[in-house]
Amino acid sequence: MIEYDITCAELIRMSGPSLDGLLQPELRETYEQHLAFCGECRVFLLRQRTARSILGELYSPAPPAQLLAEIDMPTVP
Amino acid sequence: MTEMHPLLLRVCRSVATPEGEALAMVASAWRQAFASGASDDDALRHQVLRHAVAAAASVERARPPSSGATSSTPFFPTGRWRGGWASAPIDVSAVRHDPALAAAAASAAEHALDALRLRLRLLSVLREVEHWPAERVRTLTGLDPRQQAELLREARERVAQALEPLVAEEADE
Repeated sequence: MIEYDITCAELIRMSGPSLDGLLQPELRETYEQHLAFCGECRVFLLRQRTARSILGELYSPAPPAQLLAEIDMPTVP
Repeated sequence: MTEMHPLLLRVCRSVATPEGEALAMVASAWRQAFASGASDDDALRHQVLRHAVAAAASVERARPPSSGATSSTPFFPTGRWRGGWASAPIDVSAVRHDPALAAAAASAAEHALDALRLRLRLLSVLREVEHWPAERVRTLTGLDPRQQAELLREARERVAQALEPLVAEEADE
């Protein structure tokens, strides 16, 4: 039997695995049910997804040659 | 191994200005990592990151506290989020199709990332920017899955807050 009644706090806890695509299949329906009727959680999730997406598209700039010159990279055995 | 440099610079540059100081911190972290006698490349990567984080943490601890950055108040005090956008959150697909908006969003996200306290910043950079797997980050940080998830939610929320002005501008048009 599926328990549909989860709180917003529980959904928030489940949001991380959900964003990573790692939410357990048996929890997915409960999660979606909550989102279907809770606009605040939908906004919360959209904010999280948006921030994650934009951060994911940042790139780390290449280090200056100065750093590479300063570090004499030895070979790790 | 040089793929670690940008990540290390990200960790150090927000606590060390000018840029030269951040570079010196990174170089020092490498020297300490090499001296640690790491047994393989992965151990060396962890060592250098640990040393860089320790150096950044030391600088950060020496700073005067700023509002928000050192607050002990839980970010989601009642299991809910703070704030909330008045209008619909920014549409990521629109960002991707609007170069000016994409640049503004990236810039806002960069500034928000640099403004995070060290632990949040490190987690965000490793998980969201560098796309390290959660388990690898937990190994490095010693956080349990729940702690890591809570901190990441807080970091994302702070970045989302930084994007709010863009949303408002879009809504005004």
